[in-house]
Amino acid sequence: MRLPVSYIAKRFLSFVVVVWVAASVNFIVPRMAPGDPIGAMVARMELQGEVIEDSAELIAAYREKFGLDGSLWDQYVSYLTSAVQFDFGHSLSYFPRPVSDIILDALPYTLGLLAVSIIISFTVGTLLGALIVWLKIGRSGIGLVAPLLLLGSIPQYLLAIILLFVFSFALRWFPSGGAHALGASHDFTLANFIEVARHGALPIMSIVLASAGGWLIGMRSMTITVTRSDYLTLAKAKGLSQLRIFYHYVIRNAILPQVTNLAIAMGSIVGGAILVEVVFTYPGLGSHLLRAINNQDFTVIQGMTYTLVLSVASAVLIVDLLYPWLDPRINYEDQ
Amino acid sequence: MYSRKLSMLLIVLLVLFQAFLVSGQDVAREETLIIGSDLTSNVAADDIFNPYLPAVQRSLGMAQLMEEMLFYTNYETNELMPWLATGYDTSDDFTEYTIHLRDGVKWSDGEAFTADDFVFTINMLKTNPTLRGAAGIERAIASVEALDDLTVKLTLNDPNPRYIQQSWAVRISSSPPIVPEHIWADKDPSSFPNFDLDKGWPVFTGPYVLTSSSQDQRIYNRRDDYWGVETGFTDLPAPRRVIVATAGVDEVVGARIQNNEVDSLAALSANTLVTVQSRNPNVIGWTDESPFGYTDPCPFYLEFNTTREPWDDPKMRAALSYIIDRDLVANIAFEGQGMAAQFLFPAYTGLMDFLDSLSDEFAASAYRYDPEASAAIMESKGYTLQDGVWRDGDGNSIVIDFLMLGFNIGPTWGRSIQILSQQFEDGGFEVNVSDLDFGPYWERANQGMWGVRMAWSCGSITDPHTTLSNFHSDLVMPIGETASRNFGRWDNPEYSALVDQLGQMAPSDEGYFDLAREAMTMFLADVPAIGLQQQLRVNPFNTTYWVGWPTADNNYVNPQSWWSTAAIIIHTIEPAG
Repeated sequence: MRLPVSYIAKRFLSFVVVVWVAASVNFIVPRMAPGDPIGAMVARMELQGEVIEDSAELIAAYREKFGLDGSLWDQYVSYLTSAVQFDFGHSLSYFPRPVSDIILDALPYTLGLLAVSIIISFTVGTLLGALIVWLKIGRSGIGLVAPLLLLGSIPQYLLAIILLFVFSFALRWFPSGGAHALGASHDFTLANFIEVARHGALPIMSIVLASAGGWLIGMRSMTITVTRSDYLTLAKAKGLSQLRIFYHYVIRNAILPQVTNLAIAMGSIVGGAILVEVVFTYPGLGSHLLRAINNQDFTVIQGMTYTLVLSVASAVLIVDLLYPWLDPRINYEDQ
Repeated sequence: MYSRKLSMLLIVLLVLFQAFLVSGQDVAREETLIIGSDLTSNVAADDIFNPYLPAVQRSLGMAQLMEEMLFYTNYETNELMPWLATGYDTSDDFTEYTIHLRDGVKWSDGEAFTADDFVFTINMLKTNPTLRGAAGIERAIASVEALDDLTVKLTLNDPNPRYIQQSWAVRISSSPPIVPEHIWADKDPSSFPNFDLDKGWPVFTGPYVLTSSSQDQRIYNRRDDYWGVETGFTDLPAPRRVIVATAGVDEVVGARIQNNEVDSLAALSANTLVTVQSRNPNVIGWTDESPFGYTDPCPFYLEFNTTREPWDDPKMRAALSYIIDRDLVANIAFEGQGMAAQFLFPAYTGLMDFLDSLSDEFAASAYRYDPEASAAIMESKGYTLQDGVWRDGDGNSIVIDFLMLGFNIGPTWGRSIQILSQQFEDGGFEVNVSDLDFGPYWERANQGMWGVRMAWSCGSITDPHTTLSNFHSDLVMPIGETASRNFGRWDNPEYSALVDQLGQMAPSDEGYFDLAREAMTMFLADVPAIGLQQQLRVNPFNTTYWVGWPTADNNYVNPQSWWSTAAIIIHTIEPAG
């Protein structure tokens, strides 16, 4: 299917507008909160037992150093210029660490954790949702749906703590936190890769258990709608195999909203799984984002949220462009 | 064809598997000390080892394992323990200090540690005002010079008989570390991360070197060429490797020490410790029985904004103080293990006699729970109790603008907010709690945008002057401007004059404690702040792999595992086997 250029241009324009608006909101909102990052930094130093002499001078010097003494407009222009160049400068609370380093260090852990979790929960939830309807599993279907929905209603961090106590502290099957064994090097070896996988098992399990029910319900509803379609009756009348009908007629049509949600979920990965990462002291983006918000670390917040906005908007754009392939009935000529 | 390709692929994978199957752990658990850090979450600054940058986390092993201090203050023995220095002399007027450095001290790269390093460090701080602690150094030190390789002369701007103890002997948590001139001389200290494992950085004098740093753990290996052994000053510490790892959230730290995953933790609630001990008797606290914790040097206190009505009236401040049941607040905040603070400094060895000598003054002060005394003051001020709320003649109630640092820093504060608010309301006051995060809290606190606030007082540990000086009139700033101390803007010139006098006397001087008592009496009468809770911090140790931890029965040093003084603990512990 060939996409009209005007459609692609419109989509791309809306992508740019969405990114600009979201990036601007991400600039303004943290600055609307009371307090400032330098004050937070001084407070943290005091909490460690230090007496900060001449704190007014120190705060003024750091505000100047980080460009926080300029007008809001100057800061905004500087931020947008940097954002276009993917240069977010240095973290305010972890100076001189570049924001890009913080993101790049944590990104592989978060990608591994969330991509695996989302793919597993999407696959399990979607397949189960479709099969329950297709195989007309009645009561036993409810028996399967209910626990998943129950688990889905438990906050992820609480589920994480329960899993931690059962599988780590009681059974000692999995490590209790971090991404590497204590004392192990971070070299790229298979042993370390296995260790990272072991450390990721419980966080992944807590996310999968908490989210699979949602995928299941979504797919189940769509599958019910699809199974009542005329074309399915026709397919059956034509004598097509059950597997072919299930895959090509049921799944392919029912999965469209799931794919949209999957794209958004994958795009949101860079936001991290904040609470799960905190409970497992997992070195991902989510815990950094939380800390950046606590510390009012504007540059880190901006860098992370901008990356998040870009990835979600890109995912939506890609889905928009892929839809005609997924569903040939969609016609963009009129749009 | 396909099966051949598959076989080839399997062989390649097998070879890769063999090549990659290399474990990073090469030191046995029995030889590894694992310290659960004082942080509940990971840090992004895993490559910042410059002790003078605000972002640095020295408690993650730098302070205890790599840096070494000139002196350490031992809270238990109340003595100054010389380490990189052997001692010091001072002029009669306490404006000149001559510090004698220990001979034979070497940096971890083999270079000699000399007076030039000391001079370089001081001058670096004096010329770079954004460095951590630089303002204090600039304010205190007029000049520094190396008299020879092992002697440094400091000239102070003002007389200060307690300068070494205050500034160079780990008064609380740590002191400024000396940095090697041969590495730092050509660096910009305001952005130099001091981290390059290939070059052997960071370079300090301690017995451990950093081998790995990540967000959730730092690994330090013992170096056998440690200067302490060569000079005969001390033995090598027993742990071959020390790992400092993120402890984790409150819900899981207890289980980690119970399962022997860590050998020490920076904090645990007393109740959790009891549970842990029932499953793992190898886990110990400072004491065998309740309260288990060690007296923290920074008691919590309640401060009044003395520029704001009605707290500009000492009687009204006393009225509020009388309705606070400190024992109850402390017990609830610390889950039954709390202790009311006697004052704004802790009852350590050096201060205990002084506090005891003030028992009459305390008894006469507003430092007691006495709702009737509070009511009498309120009535004398024209307030009447209407439906449980004090109202003036116009029917206005008193709303306490109560500033707190939020739940983020721990459940103790959260519980304190609740119980204090309840007591204020029970006493007839209305409360408006601002429970804020670091940034907004700090801004409002130092600019005086509050009525009453709860804070922590890190001041005196051996004599009362440091804490008393935090309330000096010179520190008063106009509302809306940033204050460094005396956030409540209490302005008492007579008291401040006494503090100035005390500042120029050594605690051993005749009449020192009489003057201190006089200042304290003024403080207690004027009620600019009241001691609230003496934090007893439970800092558990695990004897499964290591023994010889400091306890009340073996109190060779204070037990804080995240402080610089933990170096002494690490030099003392031995394998359990």
